[in-house]
Amino acid sequence: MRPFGAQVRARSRSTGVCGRRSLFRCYPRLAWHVERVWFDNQTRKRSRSLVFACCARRRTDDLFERLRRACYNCASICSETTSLRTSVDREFIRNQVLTARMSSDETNPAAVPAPVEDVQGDGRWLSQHNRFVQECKDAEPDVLFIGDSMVQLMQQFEVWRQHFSPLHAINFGIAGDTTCNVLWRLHNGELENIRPKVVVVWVGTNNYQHTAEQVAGGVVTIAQLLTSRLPQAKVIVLGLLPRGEHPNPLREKNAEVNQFLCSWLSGQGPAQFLDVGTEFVHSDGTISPGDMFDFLHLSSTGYQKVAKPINELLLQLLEEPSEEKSGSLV
Amino acid sequence: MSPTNSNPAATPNPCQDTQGDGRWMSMHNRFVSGSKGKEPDVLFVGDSLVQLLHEFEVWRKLFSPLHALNFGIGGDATQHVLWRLTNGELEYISPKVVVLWVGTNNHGHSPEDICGGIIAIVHLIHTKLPHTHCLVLGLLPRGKSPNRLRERNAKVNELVQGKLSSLSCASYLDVDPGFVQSDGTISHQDLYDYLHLTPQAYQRVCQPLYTCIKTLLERPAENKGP
Repeated sequence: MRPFGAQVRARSRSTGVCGRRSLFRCYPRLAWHVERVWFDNQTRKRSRSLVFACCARRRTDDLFERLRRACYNCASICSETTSLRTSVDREFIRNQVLTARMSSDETNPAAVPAPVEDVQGDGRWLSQHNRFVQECKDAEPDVLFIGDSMVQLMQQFEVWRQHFSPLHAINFGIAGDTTCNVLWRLHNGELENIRPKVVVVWVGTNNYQHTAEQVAGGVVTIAQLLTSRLPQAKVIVLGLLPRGEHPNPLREKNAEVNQFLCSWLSGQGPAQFLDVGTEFVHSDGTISPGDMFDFLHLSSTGYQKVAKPINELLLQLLEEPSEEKSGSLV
Repeated sequence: MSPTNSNPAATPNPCQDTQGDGRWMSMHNRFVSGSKGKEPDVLFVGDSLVQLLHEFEVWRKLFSPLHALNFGIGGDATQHVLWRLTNGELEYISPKVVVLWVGTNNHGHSPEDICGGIIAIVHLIHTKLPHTHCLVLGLLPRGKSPNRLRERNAKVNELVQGKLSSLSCASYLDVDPGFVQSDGTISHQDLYDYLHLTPQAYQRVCQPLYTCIKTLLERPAENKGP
């Protein structure tokens, strides 16, 4: 079943908060057909552009036409429109649908929350999780870092004290974590009582059982969970680093994950993609152990290289005023 | 002690590349080729506790001046270290002291088997480098609260200490400064994930280790024989 959708672009000066609600209120019967509605709020020059996109479960010409009209009318109802134009941006629709599909539990195993089983016998994963939950009760961080060992190890190097402690950052990294594990942790207490202004997500390289598309979908699910639980927060999704001394399938897979993330997070939403891995592969295709001591984990030198762009973006985001975001947004 | 061929911890075995990027073999090959031309006085070999040591300031301050090389690989168990040392990592060097720290990753093996693996490594080092002294470090406690791996590691230490007491080419050193607190818990300030050491904890572990190594380096050369 191929999904399709309609998109309306309306120039207006209002924020169009009511867009999604009005679609279903005005067209209740349509609501049944519509799987997702996206509402995007882009600021260009001095007016805002409202974009509604709907994805319907079935493809019929009649439904398409009804959807298009509905979006058109809703845009005109809820905004002081200066001009209206409907169009079908297939690329946009396809991206949104893929995102919706890949981030829904039923189709993507990388988006299913799951704890780590204690196979070794010392319960360390749960101990670390519980410590983070406890930390949420005491700390008032402005920045939250969450992810796998790339996040966790960072705290053991000088770079953390230098660049991130001053920003009141806390570190919820656990080595070995996949997107499923991070999702489980976020659902089970690691977001309680804290209101960071920015969340940095760095996870995906350990998702060995999943395809690149699934991994990216899992990361997007994490970003969506964060923006729904922390409406004031901005989210930085860090790209997966290349790994292995020489070119290998995992490098290709990680690059593919990054491509998906880059295209899915390219809108103006609260989540954005940042690639910090561009400097590690030399012209001969090798990675130096000076940067990654085991061709996966960063050395002190390697962390200095990635900390710089992260720190710059963090400072920029922390300076922006936070606004209440509305609608479902990637 | 069980014969080598029925003790998986004492049977040399490379690490299988299940992830797909060949990192373990890359690191092993680097150790072999990187050792040519170097003349280390001290060789550290083992798992992530050895490997990570190289990444912190304490290595540069204490061990680089001793002309030390670091052949640690995260995740390694005794059988992996055994394979590496059999396949080139001792080929081009003759350090005076080898510091061996491995065993905590031998999941599914009994304390007796793990001890057998460690002793097999000691014997291998002595066979290849008869004048080298092997310093075996005790396994650290792990996990936030008391658990069976702590008991296992303690048992391994006890067995290894016993076996080494009859050898003159090797000795045992307990490097645990007392990470387990009075309530039985380990602090994340020492073991940030209840297994790996923070830089501050490495300082506490390495000071006595450094002293011991220096003493061994300053001793006159070892006699032949076990």
